[in-house]
Amino acid sequence: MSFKAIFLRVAFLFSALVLTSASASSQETGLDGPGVFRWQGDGLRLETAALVHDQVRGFFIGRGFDAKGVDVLVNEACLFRSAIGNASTDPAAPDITIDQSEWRIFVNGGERELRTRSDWDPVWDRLNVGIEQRVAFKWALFPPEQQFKPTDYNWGMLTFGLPPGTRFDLEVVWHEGDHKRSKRFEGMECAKQ
Amino acid sequence: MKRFLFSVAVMFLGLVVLALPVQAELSKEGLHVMEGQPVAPDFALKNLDGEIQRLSDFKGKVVIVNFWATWCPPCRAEMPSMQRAWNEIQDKGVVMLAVHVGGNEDKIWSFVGDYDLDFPVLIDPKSKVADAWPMKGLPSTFVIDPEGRIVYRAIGAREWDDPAILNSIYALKP
Repeated sequence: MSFKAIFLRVAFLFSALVLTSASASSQETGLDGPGVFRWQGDGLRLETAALVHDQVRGFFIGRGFDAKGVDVLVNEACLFRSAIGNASTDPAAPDITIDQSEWRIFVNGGERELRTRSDWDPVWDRLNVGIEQRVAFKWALFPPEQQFKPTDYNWGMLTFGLPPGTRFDLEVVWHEGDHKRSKRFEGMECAKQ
Repeated sequence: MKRFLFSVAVMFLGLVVLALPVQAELSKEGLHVMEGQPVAPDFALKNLDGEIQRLSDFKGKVVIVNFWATWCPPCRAEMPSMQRAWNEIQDKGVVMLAVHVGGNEDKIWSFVGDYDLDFPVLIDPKSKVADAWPMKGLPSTFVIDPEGRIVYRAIGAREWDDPAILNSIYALKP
């Protein structure tokens, strides 16, 4: 067997292990596994975790970003993967609505908003990032606003716009029908260099 | 050899990023009635053979329009069920169009081959169609009635060959 074949086989097996471990720890609440935040309540289901820099580089190089663009993402974006949606499968359950402009980051004694899709446009303008890369970036980010019917959910990345290694709390706000809800996630941390 | 290892490692890490975010959940429920049932915005997009296909070409038929991308985990998760659904519906006068948001035909071709898909895949290279439709994330899927109105929508992956979903779609046929 060639070295290339062995390497690919090992990579596949490792990938299978990663997938298995990721799917084996669902339906729990709070911090679940190293750096993974899973929570479900008041109609919302949320899972999020920091993306390490090699993951960010791998994903965005694969989408055609050059080194400058990827460096900006690694150093400024503080990207978290996320899956967020309506926890209910009951068709009569209320809609869940989110608007990231209501979310707050608590860091170094202050608070700030998340960076959403449109906040990145000036950055990509400055770096002359092409349309194909912008399209991939836009749709890879979690939608800034969304209304989820029961069973609906979205996948996407959250960008907190903090330096690598920054620790912060995140207050997530959503609307369960007419009721405004919130949950503060403490001890989140951007991936380190 | 170093270049090869680096290339494989980058590709692999990209896949891991994509694999981790979502527990591949496919709901058997969740075709939701579209509020207001607006007329579906028409489009003209190239398929993988370079031929232009218009949504309006299918007026009078029920059409499922799915927006997806090769790198979107829940999109990948629902593709096998979409193919199974396609096997069921294509002889029953229901159309399925999978609109890939973003370009890179080589990767789309490769994906379609790997997943053995044979329903029509269209390419929306600059996201102009996706931007014009009432959607905010991937995957998003819409069911269009024979009059061209968006009747149902689903946000996130679904088990498209589930009988309950297929029956809701068949019920729209004239």
